[in-house]
Amino acid sequence: MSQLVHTWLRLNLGLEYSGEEVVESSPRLSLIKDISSSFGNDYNNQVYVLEQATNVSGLTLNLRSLVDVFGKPFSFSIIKWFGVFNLSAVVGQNILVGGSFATFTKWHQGSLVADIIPPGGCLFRTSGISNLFGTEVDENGIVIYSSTGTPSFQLFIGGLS
Amino acid sequence: MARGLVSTINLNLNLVYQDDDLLFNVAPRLNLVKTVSNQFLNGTGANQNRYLYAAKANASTTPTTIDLIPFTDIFGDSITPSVVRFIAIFNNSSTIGENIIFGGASATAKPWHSGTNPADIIPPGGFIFKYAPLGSVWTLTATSADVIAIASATGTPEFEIYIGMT
Repeated sequence: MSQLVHTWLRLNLGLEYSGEEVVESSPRLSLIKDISSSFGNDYNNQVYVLEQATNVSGLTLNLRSLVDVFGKPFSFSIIKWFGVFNLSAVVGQNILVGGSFATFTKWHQGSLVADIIPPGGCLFRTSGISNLFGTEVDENGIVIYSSTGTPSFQLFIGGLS
Repeated sequence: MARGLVSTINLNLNLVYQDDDLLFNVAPRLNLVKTVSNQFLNGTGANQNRYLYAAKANASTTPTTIDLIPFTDIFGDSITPSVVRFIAIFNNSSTIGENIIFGGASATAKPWHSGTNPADIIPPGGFIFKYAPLGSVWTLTATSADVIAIASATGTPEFEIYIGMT
């Protein structure tokens, strides 16, 4: 048995926006958006991490049948947060997540939707106070593929088993 | 500095994961840290941005549309951006069910998605962060791919949106 004991998550944006000069001075706006959360294992008790390359054929993960970093099998019932990081620095090597009939779709509307993550970029989503991102027997697959080439990616998924 | 945007971006994920099967009477622990830390200077190249769209409002089941080409910035100027570098959307509601829907059939700007009528669902208290420091994958196109839409699944949840663009 393994468990996620504690999670800290922070997103901090510091934005300095300036307008055109008016009478030798530019109007300026400083915005800080800072969101910081600390979760115990009642909120999320499992994490799945993966770093590897993918290709245009992609790979599929079954969210209800995974093996953790200690080699222990587990199953996600609820996804609380999800992050994908494209490690490529080659323009054009986008990572796509989703887009197949078998994929988990609770965080999307539409049909055959995939997130496109450009090289060096990331996608991070959280479910907040909701249990909306629940896995089901017939909807549990995450498909990760590339638009071209074999970019590497890192995947972090936190949730409840 | 004349018109321009400097953005400091930090995403930190720090995890303590424990195996409860004791090893020498100790529970093995793994501390995982993932950090994205960058500063976009003003400009139009890689790791740069120039324009900011920022808003805090209440969504409703009728989508709010934001035309990004052109949009009126916080200084009242008309701005014509070309590439999106980051998007952060926060659902500030604390009412279960009041999901924010970002995208959908009425939105024409979706370079961060493939598929038909794509939209992201952001539950109350949640956020989504999309980040693209390199290239021009998330290109906006006037009249055909420059409008985004934000709606609620139910109710009128408050949202915040920040979009950094070149």
